[in-house]
Amino acid sequence: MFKLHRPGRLSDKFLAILLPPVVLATILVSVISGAIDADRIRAEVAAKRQLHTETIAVALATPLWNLDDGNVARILTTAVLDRDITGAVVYDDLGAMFGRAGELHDDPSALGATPIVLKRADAVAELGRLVISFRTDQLRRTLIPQVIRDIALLVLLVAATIGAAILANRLVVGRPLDHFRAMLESRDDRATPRRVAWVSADELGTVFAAYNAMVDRVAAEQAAVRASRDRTHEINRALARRNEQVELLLNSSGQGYLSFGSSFKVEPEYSQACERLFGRPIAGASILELLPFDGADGCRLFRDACTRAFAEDDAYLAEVVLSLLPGRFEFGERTCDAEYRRLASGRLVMILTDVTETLRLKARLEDERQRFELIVRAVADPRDFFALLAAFDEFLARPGADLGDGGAIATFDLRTVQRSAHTFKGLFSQFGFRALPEALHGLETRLMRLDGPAPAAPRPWTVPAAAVEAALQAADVRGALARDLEVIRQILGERFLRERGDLSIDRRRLIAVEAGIAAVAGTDDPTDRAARAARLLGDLRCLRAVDLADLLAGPARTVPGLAARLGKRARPVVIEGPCCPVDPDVLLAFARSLVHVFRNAVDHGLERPDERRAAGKDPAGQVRCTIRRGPARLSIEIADDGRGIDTDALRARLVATGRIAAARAAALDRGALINAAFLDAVSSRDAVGEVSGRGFGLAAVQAELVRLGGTVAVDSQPGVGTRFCFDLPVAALDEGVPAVAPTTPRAIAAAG
Amino acid sequence: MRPLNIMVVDDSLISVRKLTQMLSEMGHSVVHSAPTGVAAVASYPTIRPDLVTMDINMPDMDGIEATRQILAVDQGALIVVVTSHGQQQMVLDAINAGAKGYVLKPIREDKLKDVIQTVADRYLPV
Repeated sequence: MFKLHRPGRLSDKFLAILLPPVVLATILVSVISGAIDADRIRAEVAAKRQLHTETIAVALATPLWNLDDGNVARILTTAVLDRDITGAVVYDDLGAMFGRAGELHDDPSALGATPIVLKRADAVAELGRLVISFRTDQLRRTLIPQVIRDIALLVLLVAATIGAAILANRLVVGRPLDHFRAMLESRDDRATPRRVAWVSADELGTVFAAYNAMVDRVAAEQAAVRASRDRTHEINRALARRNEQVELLLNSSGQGYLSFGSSFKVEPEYSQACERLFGRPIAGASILELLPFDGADGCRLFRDACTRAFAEDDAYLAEVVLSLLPGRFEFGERTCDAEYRRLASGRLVMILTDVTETLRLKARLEDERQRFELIVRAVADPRDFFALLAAFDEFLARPGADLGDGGAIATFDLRTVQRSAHTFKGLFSQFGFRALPEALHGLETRLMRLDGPAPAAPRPWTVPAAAVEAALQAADVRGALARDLEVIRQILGERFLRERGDLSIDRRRLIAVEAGIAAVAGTDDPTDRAARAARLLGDLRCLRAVDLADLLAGPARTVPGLAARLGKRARPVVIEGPCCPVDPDVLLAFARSLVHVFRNAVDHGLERPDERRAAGKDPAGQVRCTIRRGPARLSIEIADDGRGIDTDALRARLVATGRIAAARAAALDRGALINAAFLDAVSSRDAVGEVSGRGFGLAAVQAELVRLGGTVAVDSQPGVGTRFCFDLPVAALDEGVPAVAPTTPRAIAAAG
Repeated sequence: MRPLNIMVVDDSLISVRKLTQMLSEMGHSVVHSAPTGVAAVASYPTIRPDLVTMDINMPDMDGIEATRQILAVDQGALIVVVTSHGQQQMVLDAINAGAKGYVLKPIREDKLKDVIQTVADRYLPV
């Protein structure tokens, strides 16, 4: 590259190059031209003088002093005829004008007049002076070609100067600029602009330096843009990855997520599970049309509640309103739980969780648990279980005490049927049966509706057997029994059901019996034999004997579960007392009927945990069963630590149901009242439920007591508890089993 | 939280008794009980309780109308409606009328305590 270091400004550079030659040339031209001009004129004038001198000399062949004026004038006029001469004057040697012709001016010398000294050829003396004034402009006209030539030279010179200037421009400015332009034009749009390799201190240098700086800046910014773009790509990639993950999560969680704003249109970002639930793509659809509401009212509630939630600034109130929205929806066969979340941007998110399987599982689990319970109870208490089944079979065959006179139409005492149904319901419930207790409840309802007014107790309420049978069928009691037994059959097998009531005998007892038989056979003495036989009989009886506590354990077991179902708490029943082997055939029914006493204790006796706490009692209630044995009596006491019997309510109920006249009721003391409570159809509760409802329970107990010749005493203290004390006579045996045998029925005395 | 003066509005005496017992156990005082909406609206200006529990189902004037009228008298009145299951629309109407919360029957102590505590903390001037 051309480098000029010294002059700092371009104009200076030009001046440096141009000025000297121009100045020089100008000077030269002027000088030359002037010289040429002067030279020319001089030559011209000399030539003309020469010419005229010769002419005039020729004309003056005669000496001038011989000339007369006319001749002089003629010479002068001839001289003037020369184009370039304007005037001629002759002066004699004394300086006087001798003759003139043409125009003359005052100062001839100013006109370039050339004094010509005329001399006579043969004389030395001068004749005089001839002054001829020349027309210099005419002269000059002859010089025009020269002038033109001069101008042309000048023009050439100027052209040369310009040429030099252009050259200089090219050298100093043009080449770098061309190079620059070439560089710019050749530049690839995508490539970074290149720096200009030009360093100088002049304007160009500054421009290029600025350009280079700009190029550097551009390069830096391009690099920054690239870096930023790369970063953006990186971020976009990360975002896309994250979105993918979220989508994957949403779509694989199986939950339906969707959102909508105050327009109720579903927004396009929803989880795939929604499409499964709704059966179609739901973006843009109205949520009010998609959800399976409970009628137009349900839809309206949803819309109103959501609208309020959208508009509500108070976050707490919005949540309250959202809590009113349905928590569960049925999508055809699938059930979904619904949760709602409010977003800050004024939208609502709905989270639908398919709980169909969970619910099914729960239902199945519950079913299984109940079946399990049924099985366990049957296995834990097989003797009771089969005795119950046997008793129920009998009931189905003959539901009540036959009042018939042997005639064609059998009739039953409805009350006995009702009592049995009620008792069986309780017992089967205790064993974990499901369908049968329900069916028996239905039976009870139907029996209640049988036609005819209830006659006043204790007269029997006669109904035809056919009506009872019809009720049995309508309630599908047998079917229910079969269904429940099927569960047992499936798990425990047919054998279990067939081998009912088998006795399991303690080995030691059997050995004792063997020894007893040997003892009887081993003596011939009749008295001795009789005594030994009696002892043997006792031992044999022992084989069948069951501890009374075991018999009572069954009914007692229902207490904690029943309490839980009623929202109360009860500890397991404590059965205390000495071991008391009894004949199960005799006492089983009575022991069973005591289930009503236990249930009553929970239902009516025990208070709710908060009530108990308020009364300073342990929130969990406790029912105690105490067995006492005397020589001739057996007593079973069932006591609860509940609220005691509300005698006023009882009294009111007795009057209200028409059991007892109001006046008489008022007169009865507590003991008598409770006694009256043992009569049918009394309950001190308004509602009738499966539990302790119809008042048959205690009556069933009473019936058993009558059969066994026992008595009952009830003691109750408000706020402290209630105690039922059952007393049974025991037929004494020699050190054998106290066999409680039915004796003649005695009046029931209730202690106050 | 500090004990509140509460007015119980319910047409069933048993409910009033039960609710009163529960509230007393929490440490609040039931300063008045009204058996009807009309009675509630009439006694409110005199009693000025901190909070009102209002049974939604009542004869003669239902809980929602009573809520509206009480709020007309006292804008800052705190009313919690007592409702049975399946009455969501009525609860929404009550909230739109200005009630601040609700409890479902059968009333559970923990739920009642929560609602009262939340409403009192949020809306009662200290």
